[in-house]
Amino acid sequence: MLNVLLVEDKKMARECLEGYIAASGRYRLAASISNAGMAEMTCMRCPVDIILMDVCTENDENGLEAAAQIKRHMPDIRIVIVTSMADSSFLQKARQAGAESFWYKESSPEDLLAVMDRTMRGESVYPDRAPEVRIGNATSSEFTPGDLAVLRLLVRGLPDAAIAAELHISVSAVRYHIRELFEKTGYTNRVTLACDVINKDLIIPGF
Amino acid sequence: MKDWRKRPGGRAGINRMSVKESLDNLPSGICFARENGTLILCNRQMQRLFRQITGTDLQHISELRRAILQPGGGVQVLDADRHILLFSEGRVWQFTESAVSDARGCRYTQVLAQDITELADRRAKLEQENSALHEANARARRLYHELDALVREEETLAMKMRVHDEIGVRLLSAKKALEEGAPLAQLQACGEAWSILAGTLRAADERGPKENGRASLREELDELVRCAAGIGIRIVMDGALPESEAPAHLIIAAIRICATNAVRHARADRLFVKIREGAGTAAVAITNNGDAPQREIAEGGGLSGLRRRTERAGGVMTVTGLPRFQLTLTLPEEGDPC
Repeated sequence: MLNVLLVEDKKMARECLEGYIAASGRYRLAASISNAGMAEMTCMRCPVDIILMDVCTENDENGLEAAAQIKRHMPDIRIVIVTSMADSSFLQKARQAGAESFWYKESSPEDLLAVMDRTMRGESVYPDRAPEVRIGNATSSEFTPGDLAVLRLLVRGLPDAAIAAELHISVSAVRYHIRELFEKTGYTNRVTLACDVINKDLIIPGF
Repeated sequence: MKDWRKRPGGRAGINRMSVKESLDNLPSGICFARENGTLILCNRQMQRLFRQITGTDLQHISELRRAILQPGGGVQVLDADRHILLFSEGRVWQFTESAVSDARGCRYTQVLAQDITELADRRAKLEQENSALHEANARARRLYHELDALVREEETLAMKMRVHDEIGVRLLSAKKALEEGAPLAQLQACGEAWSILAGTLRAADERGPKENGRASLREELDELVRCAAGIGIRIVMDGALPESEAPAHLIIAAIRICATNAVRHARADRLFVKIREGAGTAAVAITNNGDAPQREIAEGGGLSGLRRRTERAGGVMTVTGLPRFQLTLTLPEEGDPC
């Protein structure tokens, strides 16, 4: 039996995943926690073979950072990032953190247990792209990398000059991207744009 | 004005009178002084400004310098470093001094006075607008931080409403089946469906009032202490967590990171945590009883992530390795959660 650490802060999702693991016949639940910050210590405390790691967990603890920390000190533990968030940056960040696999809760065609099995066999299972979400009149695939970079800082409430400084671009370039976002989505102000982006989990502030 | 053709030097001649006349016609004030400070040339505008400040005529450059620094006559200093004065008629003048030399290499002091009233007005307006923008941005940042929690609350409410509707439908169908004397199989199916629903509601009720499963700060710390004991390190607390969630969560994260590092790198079995609050800040100092580091601490993933979160919250983090490890955080009680 392989030991699974489940890191998931939403109660219903956690109970559902616990049920999957219990019914699998080949995985055993070693621990189930709601705060990614506790994952490393939990792995030090009890044997864990594979982690199902949510990204946005309790108290804004970041599952991707926890994954990177665990891979640094306990590289033999396999990690599957499990999320429903459509934030496209998570795929790249998960690879950078060293997570072996990635699974979207709502949209991945493959069964989670199949992904876990393949991961334990040494495969790396990643979807090709993040799920598309609708933001106003646009779909998220219509946004350029520049649009998304500006949007990511806009939802943090930064003014144009601060966005420009952080991205090393001009203020006029920032305003160009914001105009493009307005034109694509049909929104006419930043607050409604930011609300929809956060509501649809396209960008998770702070992650 | 005198006929320039009758001046000494004729058509091409420039003399003192013509120089003085042209300078007097300038809207700016200008004066020149020798190295010893004696004025050699001062235009009408500069004399007017000086007279307004002091009530006397300008004779020596040192008088002008004193007047600019400590003006009288109802004139106010707006910017002492840049020598900007507000005169009683509402005009703003800036005085700038520079060294000049003539063609023979003789050195003089030039003082220029320029009317910058429109510029000063525009700057003041910009500062007001910037201040309003900063406030709006701060409000937006607070909104964005709360938005996630608001959306989740809405989702929870939507789910509760679906459950409520489901209960309503089950009750109605059970009532109808009973009133119409439905067949036994149908009644048993209703009973089973109702039993499952009641079981789910009971299980949810037993889990207690925390609808989204969030632990309190106290529970979170207790869980951390228990888990830390499981990896062989006892956390010794001196002081209590602040009541405000933002600094409390950061302190808990700091304790957790220090505990794992202390076990992993220092072979410690005690972690000492001292928390103090006062003057709108919460401060924590964390040390351990393990081996002293061999060199200065290089911040890895845990510590660098903590530093990022601390600075984003408006706090300060310091880490020292020699002679013994210590981590301190100083956090505002109501930090910017972004």
